[in-house]
Amino acid sequence: MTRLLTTLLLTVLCSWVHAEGLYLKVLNNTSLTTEQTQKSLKKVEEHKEVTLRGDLSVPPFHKRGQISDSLEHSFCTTCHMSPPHTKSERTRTFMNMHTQYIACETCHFRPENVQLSYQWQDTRDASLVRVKPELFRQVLKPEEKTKKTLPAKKVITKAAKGINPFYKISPYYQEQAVSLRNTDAFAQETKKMWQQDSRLDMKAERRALIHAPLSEKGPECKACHTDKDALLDLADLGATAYQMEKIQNNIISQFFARYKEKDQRIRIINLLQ
Amino acid sequence: MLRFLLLIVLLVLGHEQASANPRYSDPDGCLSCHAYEGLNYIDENGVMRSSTINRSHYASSLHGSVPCMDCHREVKDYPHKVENTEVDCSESCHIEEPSEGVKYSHDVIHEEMDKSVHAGGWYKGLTGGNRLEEIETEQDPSCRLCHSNTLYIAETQLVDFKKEFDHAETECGNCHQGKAWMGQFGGHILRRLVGRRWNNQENNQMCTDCHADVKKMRDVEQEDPDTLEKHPPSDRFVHSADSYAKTLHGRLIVDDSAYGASCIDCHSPDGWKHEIRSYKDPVSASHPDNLPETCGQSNCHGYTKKPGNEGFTLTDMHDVSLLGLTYMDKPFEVEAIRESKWFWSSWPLLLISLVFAISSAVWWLRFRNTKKIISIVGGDRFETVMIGRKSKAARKKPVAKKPAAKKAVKPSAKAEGEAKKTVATDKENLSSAATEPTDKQVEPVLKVDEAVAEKERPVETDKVNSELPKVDNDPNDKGA
Repeated sequence: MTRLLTTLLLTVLCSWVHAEGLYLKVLNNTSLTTEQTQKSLKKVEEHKEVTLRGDLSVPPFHKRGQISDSLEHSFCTTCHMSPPHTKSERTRTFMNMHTQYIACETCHFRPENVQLSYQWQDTRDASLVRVKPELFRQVLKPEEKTKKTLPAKKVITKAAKGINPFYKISPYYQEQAVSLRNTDAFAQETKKMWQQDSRLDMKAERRALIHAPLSEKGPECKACHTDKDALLDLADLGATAYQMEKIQNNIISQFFARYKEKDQRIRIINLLQ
Repeated sequence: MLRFLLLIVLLVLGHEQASANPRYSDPDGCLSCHAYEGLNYIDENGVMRSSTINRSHYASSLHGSVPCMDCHREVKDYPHKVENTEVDCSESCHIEEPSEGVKYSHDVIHEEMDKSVHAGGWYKGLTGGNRLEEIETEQDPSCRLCHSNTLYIAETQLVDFKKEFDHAETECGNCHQGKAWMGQFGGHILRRLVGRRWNNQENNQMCTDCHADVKKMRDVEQEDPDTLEKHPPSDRFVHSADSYAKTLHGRLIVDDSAYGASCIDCHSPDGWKHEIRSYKDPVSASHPDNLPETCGQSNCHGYTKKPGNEGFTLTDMHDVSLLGLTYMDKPFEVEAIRESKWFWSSWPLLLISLVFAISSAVWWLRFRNTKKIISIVGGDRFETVMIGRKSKAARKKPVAKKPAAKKAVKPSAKAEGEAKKTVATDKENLSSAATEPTDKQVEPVLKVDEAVAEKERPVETDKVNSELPKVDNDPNDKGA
């Protein structure tokens, strides 16, 4: 009896894992307009290939952070570089920072009138990850002062530091992963088309199709860094009350809320006020 | 009274401030953003940029006491303009040099750099800025090409440092009490004692990172100090690292010896080690007139300072002529060939090779059909070991002194040839002696040989039976 139940459960799980995600379903039902195709063709024609350079012979003066390609298994990196955000001088580094723990589709695939849920996913095999506070790579508990004279020391545990970089918050629809993996047939076909010297109009059409259900601009910082109607249910994702408070009241998201124009520069002293 | 008390409080606070520069915990709030991991992006040139500053590393680094804005003074708004993030290392910091309480500055190093050969290009007050721009446009090094914000005490030396630090707290603490002293002086002194990291190999590595890159050095544009005329670099300059590596100094350092002189030891022995001048500059430590002093420093070659010993300094430490012609930019130019020691030293070798080749040819022509083994070099040993003949020395012993023993005498080819001329040899006797080696039968042979021995020394043999047929190994008499 137990064996039978286990087999059934595994079958259900496998079919659930390999079933067609919402993103691919939307792609299959998308019919492109001429305007979309033309716009895409222009983008493809104007595209300039940027080759990633190795380390520069002049080293940086300060020790910098680790650079890991945690988007390796994402379908988006078939064409986009990793880290992908390059344009906005103000937000690119912070958005790239978020790619360490948030999947591309979480921000860029937000179809109207569809209720998505968000869960931690191992992007290597699209399996679910057991929720725990360490996944947020942050201080777990409120700071405690050990000595009156010294400031409280923020402690990020070893477990939090050692979290697998491929674990990301990903969208789910009806308990099924939305994202397309780069091993799927559609992704492979796209990769082939992109790497081979295909015709520009074919590339443009594929590009238009892929981006049709996506929004170029992701949500504002406040969509998540707020305690009211946040896009992500942090408690459900395993955050402690302390972590939730820190994320919701994040000072940088408050800085960014002050920018009203695209190329605006604000004096830091004013940001700190 | 109140004023007096206030003054005392201010003095005490002021003294505390002067004697103990506390490690700032980011007073400008820069690490509110920059401490986040993963603040990376790829710029339009394909360079991966990182805005993350490792907080704990920074706090434990040489500049851990220096607030960010002390160096990045122009960063006033966000997003930061690249040009505003540049740093002038020669500016004084807000931290104070603890012994005298004056604001710390790299200005002395700035002054040295200003006089050096490295001052020409990337020189915006020892500025940092865009690294790619620096690589693509400037040939002279900036501060950060050689220096980075390293840990105050390297992790590998932390155990030793802690041990020494505990020791110093008890020993030095008898007189110098207080954590401020230990923090400012104790740590600093011990870093110099325990934390000294750079040996001569590492010093040289820093220089050869650039100077051993031949392609990079060929792109350098040199300037004549007198006429200020620009010219392409000489082979001597381009191959300075290669030529140095061939000297005893270079080889000693590669071998991890403490006795080899590093690049800096000769090119900038004094001061803050940054005043590297051209050897043509009369003030330069490597100028020929100053070499006795430079070579004689620290008792390295002290005798060079004495009059009459200057000749020692004529040893060229960057002798390009020692390098192979393949190193040269234009190896087939007359000048390059004429200066090459390899070229000149190849002449005697060529001559010897020619003599050897001609001799071999003549030898082959003359003796190609000769079966006789001619003893030139090793011939005697060959005959002794391989054929079983007696050595020359043994052959020289007079036969007459030996009793006419049972042993048969093996006449040498030459002796036999002589014997043929002087005595009629009975071949039948020989053959019968070979088959029945009795005393009587051997006698006639001995007699023949004794006669020969007067003119040529006979050869004895232990193996009569086997050797006799080999007696005449030169039937055509070509070896005679």
